[in-house]
Amino acid sequence: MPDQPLSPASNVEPTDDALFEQYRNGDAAAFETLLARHQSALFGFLIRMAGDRALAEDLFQETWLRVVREAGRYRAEQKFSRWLFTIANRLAIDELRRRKRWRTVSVDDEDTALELPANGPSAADETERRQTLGRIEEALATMQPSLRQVFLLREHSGVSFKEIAAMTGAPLGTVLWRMSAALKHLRKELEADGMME
Amino acid sequence: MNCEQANETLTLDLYGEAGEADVAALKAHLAGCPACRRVAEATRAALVEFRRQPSSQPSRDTIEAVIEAAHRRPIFAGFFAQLRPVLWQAATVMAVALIVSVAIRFWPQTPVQHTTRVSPAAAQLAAETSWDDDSAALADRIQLARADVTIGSSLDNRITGLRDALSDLRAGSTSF
Repeated sequence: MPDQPLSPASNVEPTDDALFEQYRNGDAAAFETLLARHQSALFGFLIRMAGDRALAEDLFQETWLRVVREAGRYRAEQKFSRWLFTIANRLAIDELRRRKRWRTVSVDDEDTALELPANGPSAADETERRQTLGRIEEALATMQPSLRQVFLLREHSGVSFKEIAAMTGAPLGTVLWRMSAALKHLRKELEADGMME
Repeated sequence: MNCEQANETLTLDLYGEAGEADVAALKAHLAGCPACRRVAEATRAALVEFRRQPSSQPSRDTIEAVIEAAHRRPIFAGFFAQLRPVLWQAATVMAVALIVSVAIRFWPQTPVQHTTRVSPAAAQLAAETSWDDDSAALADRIQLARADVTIGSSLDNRITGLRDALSDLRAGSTSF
């Protein structure tokens, strides 16, 4: 008996829209898959936007609760990741404005609790990594909020600059300018500390 | 391409959003501009450093709270949530239809006013007629008015009736 060829569909992961549709039809496991797929990027965005882990946790939870509550309003043409980050971005900005905080990254805060690679770096590597980490976070903390917002959205959400313009309500040219300015700031901060040769 | 344009194109190129022609122009500019070339190299290095940072993860409690909320959601809530806008539209249409039908039903009806064309002579006769007028003069006026009225019309009949009534008055009859 000849071998049956594998069905192409069996090796293809379901899209975000397919998973969300399954969830809307009652498949809670599909939601967990979606959550696992996006949790790292989303949390990374929120913790760097908020500069505070506890706040980032709250915003993360609230973002997904909004996804659950507004599941019926989602339309496939919106693109799930864009919708997800639009909700998260709005929640983050609203909360930061309410707290009158835009940049309170605590470089020395041990509770930041970023995961380290499992294979364990050497002491020198870890010191260098922590120094680099500190400079990155400090660069973000000293970056203007509107620049940081665009930079983090592009880095973490993967949506295009055009989509970021729609999400933030800013013209595309403004978004590109902010991104260029954010990159310039990041570059200068790292160069100033001699982190780049 | 000048340096400012090169900087903007570089931003797009770093994220794969620059067009082929723009990328070619950028490369040509960088080949001839050491300052922009250093900026491009330093920017790429900064992004590499940024992306090397370990990823952050939410706590297990947070994840479990989210999953629990997702499981608590009613299975068919999504279906009804999608149906909600349709139901709202249908309810709005029905409400408008009900209001319109009630308005039509109870809208105050203005009485239809029938206009009757009256000749100038007949109109004058009607205005001047009174029981105190001299009966002969009244008869003359009736005759005049009759000339302006179409024979057989309702006004003609009325005038004929008046003439007959006048004759009866003369004869001492009061049957009208």
